Amino acid sequence: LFFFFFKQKTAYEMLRSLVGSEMCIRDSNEGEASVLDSPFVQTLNSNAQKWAPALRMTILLMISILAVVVRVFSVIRFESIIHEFDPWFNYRTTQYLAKEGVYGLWNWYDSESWYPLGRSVGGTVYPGLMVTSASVYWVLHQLSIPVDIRNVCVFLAPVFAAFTSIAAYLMTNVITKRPEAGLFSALFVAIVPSYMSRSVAGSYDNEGVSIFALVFTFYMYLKAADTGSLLWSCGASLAFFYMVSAWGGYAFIINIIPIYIVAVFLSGNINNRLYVSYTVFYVLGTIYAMQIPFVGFQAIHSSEHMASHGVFIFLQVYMFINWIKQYITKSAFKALTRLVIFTFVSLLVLGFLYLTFTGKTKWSGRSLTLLDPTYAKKFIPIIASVSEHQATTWSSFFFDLHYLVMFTPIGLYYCLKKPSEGKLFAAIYTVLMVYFASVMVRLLLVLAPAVSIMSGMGVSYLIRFLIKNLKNALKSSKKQSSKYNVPSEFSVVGILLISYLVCTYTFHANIAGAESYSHPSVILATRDQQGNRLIIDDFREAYYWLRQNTKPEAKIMSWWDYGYQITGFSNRTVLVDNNTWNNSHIATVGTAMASSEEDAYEIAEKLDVDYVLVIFGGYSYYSGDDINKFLWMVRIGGGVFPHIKEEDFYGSGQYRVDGQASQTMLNCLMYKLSYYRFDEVKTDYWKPAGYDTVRQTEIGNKGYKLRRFEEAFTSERWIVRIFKVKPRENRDGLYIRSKGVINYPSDTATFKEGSSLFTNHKYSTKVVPPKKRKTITVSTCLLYTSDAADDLLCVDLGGRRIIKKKKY
Amino acid sequence: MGNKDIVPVRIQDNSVQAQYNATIYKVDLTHYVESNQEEQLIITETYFNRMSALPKKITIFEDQNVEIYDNPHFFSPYPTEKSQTTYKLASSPIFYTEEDATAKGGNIEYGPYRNDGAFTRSKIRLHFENTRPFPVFKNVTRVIEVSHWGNIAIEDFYKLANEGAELTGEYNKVDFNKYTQHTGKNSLKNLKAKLPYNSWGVYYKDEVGNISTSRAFRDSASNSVDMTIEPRFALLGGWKSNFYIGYNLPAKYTLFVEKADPTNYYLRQNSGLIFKGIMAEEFTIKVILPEGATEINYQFPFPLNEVSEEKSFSYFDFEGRPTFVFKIKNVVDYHDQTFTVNYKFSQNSIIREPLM
Repeated sequence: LFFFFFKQKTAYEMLRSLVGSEMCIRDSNEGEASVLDSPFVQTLNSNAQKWAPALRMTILLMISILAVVVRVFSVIRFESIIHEFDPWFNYRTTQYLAKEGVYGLWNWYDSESWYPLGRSVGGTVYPGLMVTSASVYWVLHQLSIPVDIRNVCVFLAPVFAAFTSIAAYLMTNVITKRPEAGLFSALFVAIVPSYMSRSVAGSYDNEGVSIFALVFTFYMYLKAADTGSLLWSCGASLAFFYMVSAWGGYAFIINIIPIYIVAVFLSGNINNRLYVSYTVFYVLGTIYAMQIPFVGFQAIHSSEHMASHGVFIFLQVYMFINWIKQYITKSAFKALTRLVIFTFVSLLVLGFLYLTFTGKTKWSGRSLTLLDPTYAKKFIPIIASVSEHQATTWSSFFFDLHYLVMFTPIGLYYCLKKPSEGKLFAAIYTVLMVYFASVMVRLLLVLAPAVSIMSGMGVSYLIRFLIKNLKNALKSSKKQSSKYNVPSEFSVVGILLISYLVCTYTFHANIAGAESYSHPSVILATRDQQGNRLIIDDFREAYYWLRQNTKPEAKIMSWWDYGYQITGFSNRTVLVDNNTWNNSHIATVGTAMASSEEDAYEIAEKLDVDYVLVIFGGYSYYSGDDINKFLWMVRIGGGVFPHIKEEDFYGSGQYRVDGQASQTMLNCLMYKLSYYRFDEVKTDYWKPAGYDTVRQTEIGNKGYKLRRFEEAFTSERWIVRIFKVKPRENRDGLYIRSKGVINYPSDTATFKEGSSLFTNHKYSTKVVPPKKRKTITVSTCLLYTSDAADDLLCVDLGGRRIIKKKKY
Repeated sequence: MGNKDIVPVRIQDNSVQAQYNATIYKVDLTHYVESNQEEQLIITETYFNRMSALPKKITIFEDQNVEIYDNPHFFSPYPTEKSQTTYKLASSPIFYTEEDATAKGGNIEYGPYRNDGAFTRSKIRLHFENTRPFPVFKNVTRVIEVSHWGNIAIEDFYKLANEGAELTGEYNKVDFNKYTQHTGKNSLKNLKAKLPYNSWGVYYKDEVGNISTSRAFRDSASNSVDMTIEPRFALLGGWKSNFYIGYNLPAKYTLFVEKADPTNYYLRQNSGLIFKGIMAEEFTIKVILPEGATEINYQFPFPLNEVSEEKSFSYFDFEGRPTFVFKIKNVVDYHDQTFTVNYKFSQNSIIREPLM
């Protein structure tokens, strides 16, 4: 982009240059001068040199504006609303923070979530995002600009995207010392679809600010490593502190930098600058990280931080040996080095193994999933169930990064061709991130700045190479320089091709931003037969119904996906939400959904549930519904309560909802609530009543009645269905057994003989007779201590297990 | 006496209050009535919460019935020679007090009663089918923000409830939806509002965002913008919903300046609801005047329950805008009148904010 801009400065100069080229053609016939020697080109060159900084800033400014503008499609097409799931929690927390202040947030015990456990929000949240937007809010209010907190939250991520592109410019600049590479990087990162997917207006999530923090920390650190300056090192640790406060992904920084140090060491280029920068960064960064309550002492003992400790100690020892070197003989030094390195490495390994096996240090479930991609699938269904934790497919690589996947290898080649410390860093960052991004879809996001920077370097390198070629060719067709020996036609084609690819990339990014990543997901849009745009607002309709027409203290049971939205939209208490810190509590809800109506009722009653909310898409082609997610509920439930078996839910070997589905499936609560009275409606003229449009089949269980639940609300297009848990009826279930004496030792409440109403019989409260009774062991103890779940099962999806396992 | 409206004055008479459980209103006639002359008076009384659903709770398949207790005599502190009361019901009644009554379909006539003494009364009960919803605004807050740059921004916040028979039992999505008429008859599916003819930039939203189910068009025949809104969900009996309606008015139609004194402004605004036929239990009007407005007076065509003054802050306000808060209870169509706020505002103040 820079190149074209500078070539087309003004029409006037264009004209002159044409004249110049004519001249040069005539001149070259004489075999003396070339176009590059003409006085005009010389002036142009020196002018361009003079104006370059201003142009650079202008272009950077335009890229920043572009980064913001391309992200507000969602507001234009829908409205200024918080998107998706996690942003709703962040928004709610920000509202609380703006109202109650930082200490209020620190001490906030949120009783609206995880009923009956609650959640201590202050200690289980990365507050960077909320503090950022609350600060913006406060500052604007001090300036007498009373903006709405919602709008601050909605537009925060686009603004930070602009910052990210500036940071990427700076970082590439530090690496290559070439501003044009920086500008390419800035452009690429500003509109890379993968990053846009998490930072469109309304997508108010940690990643929105932390990608900026990540790139900026790297920039600061590279600057520190470059200069060996204490100031930059302190700056880097401050940037790191911001990153830690904003996102759990800070683990990438605290691992990439040590790995980089090790790589530099192995290449034999370790020096004092690196030593200073790393030592300062490590010490300050670790201390800062500990200030975030959610991280706290994890910064010392969690496995994610071990590499940084190891490298720090190693650097100290190495520098100490180097210092000793001056005082002892060469052979003694060699022996000493060997000894020290050997003992040091073995100590590190042994120490790490010891800590790991004694459980002093732990990998979080998600980190383990990153190191062993099959881990989650085998052991942690809750991680595996999240769509953004799936392994990345090639198509999503290409869709999210587009031609950057082609440019990146060029950049890598360039890095390795003329290596420097900065380039080595960029290469390590990119290679590591490629691995992580291929393990989990969501980590494409962290890869995006890496490939943008790489591509920026690659593209600028290619263009420079081709231009030099062209220049050389123009200079003299006779004496071909041996260095640039590509034919000039090839150079022209190459430049045109690169321009074409870059343009295509911008178009693709625009379309991806406008069409794919700008859906709020709480509002759906479709087109009717006339082609008019139709808003499907079922979620808000039902959530708002909950807000208005249920008791304020009502407890809503739903799958955890909708927890944040229910607390955000409806202001009601939920059992589980997207902060999946307590696996067994989620498993309890999964079990309730997978149990028969009677068993589910018992669970619901124990948990004081007033309403059950299910998402059902079978009426209106909404495929992300609970029936499609149901197997995960079964798996997660079955992981804690073994009587729930996945295979019971398969009919004829597969998961289905039609007549061939298993009896367990057809009679479980989820099925019954989703399809309640669905058999009485026709969704398609040509199909029988009760035809599920998502599963493309006629449902298998028809005409049933609900005994314990009552339909309380169903949204316009049936997407959200809310059922009320009925209170027990009077003398519920008392029934007469006329023959024999049935007396279950512990389960029955036997009425005394001769009681006035029933004289001749024995009565018992209706319990399911022991033979049939399933061993459902939902006890309150289990819920509070989550002792059914191993530590590793309680995973961090933005939150963390806070209740410690009780030892008996 | 022509057809001049006279506002009655409430008289505090504790003895009557204690003895008859009645409130006395005094009407000042416009001229004297000579002896043996007749004068015709038309008295309009508006009651609310007189009808109540019976049974209190119905399923979605049942029709709503209501009951009402009333006094068929003309209740007055004067003797009445002859009086007659006709009740026009939506349908023939399920039950009515038969004493002195003649029923013709939905019309029930009591009386004529002759030579009633002062404060004569009896109690009748009517029970009949009325399937219409009973929309009530529990609370309405209107914020009128005056800008001397030519715009008056108005935002109303409504707390709507359907006080018909409460829904019991299942919701039954299969049988009940917006388009069916045979179930959930007492559900409130939409409301019609009339906004001033010149309104523009109309929006309809609630606490969780925009509501896409509304239509509005400018109707020159009725000289208004007719707006039909549907709540997010049809309000069955006992259900509630809140919403905002906002619109802008060009200042030239409602903000007037005195010719002789160009610093003297008159803001004329409607003091009623934009929804006709629905009562608001509490209505708050907040008038936010521009920063720097002084000597503020107001004039309402009816008594107010409470008036207070505060400051509000908007973009680049440092002193705060003078704000008057008027509270009115039990607002009905009668309140659909015009009130005036008069204040002084110097032309120089207008450029202060853009300068900042």
